[in-house]
Amino acid sequence: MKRLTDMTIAVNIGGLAILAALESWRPGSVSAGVNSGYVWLVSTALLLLVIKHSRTK
Amino acid sequence: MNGSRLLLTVTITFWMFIVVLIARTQMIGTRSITLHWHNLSQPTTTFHWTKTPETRPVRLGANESRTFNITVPRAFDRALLLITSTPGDGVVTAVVNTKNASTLQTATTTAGQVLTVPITWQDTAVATRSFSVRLSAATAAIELQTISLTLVRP
Repeated sequence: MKRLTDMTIAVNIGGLAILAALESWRPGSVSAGVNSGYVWLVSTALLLLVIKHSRTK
Repeated sequence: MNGSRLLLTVTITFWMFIVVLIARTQMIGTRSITLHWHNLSQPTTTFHWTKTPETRPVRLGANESRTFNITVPRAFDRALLLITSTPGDGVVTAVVNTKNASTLQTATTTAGQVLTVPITWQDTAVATRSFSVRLSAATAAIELQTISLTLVRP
């Protein structure tokens, strides 16, 4: 469970870091992807919290 | 499948979707991108990301004009607009307005020759840049064949 959670967070942060690097290299090229990535990262974090909370109940 | 495993699967699928989307738009790369107008009969449209133009000529009567609005990604600040028409007696004029008062570009050529208009944007864009091109015929009717836009990387 912990390992899966860590992997999910790592995949999100890694993807977002790559997109942010591309965006800073060529502004405007992947801006929609970066915005989607931010939203996805926050959504995933919230979902992980919900999953964790439901398991501790 | 438990919640964490499902979330990891969906996360990987999401990032794969983003990668495919970026690859399809060809926004990452060093070469220029050439876009072709799909359907000239539509008065207002954005350029479609295609490499196989579907030519549907549009006829402009004598002294008639037509305006097209074009939106491009903000990653580009220079472009080359190419307009072709069928050979004839007419004269075609293009007036490009890039929304900057100082950069109204005009080009004129006889029917049958390629009309080339270089476009530059100086303003800072949030997501996209837009411009309008007004094509007009002189005293004789003309038939527009294709419009293509080559976006040049900075």
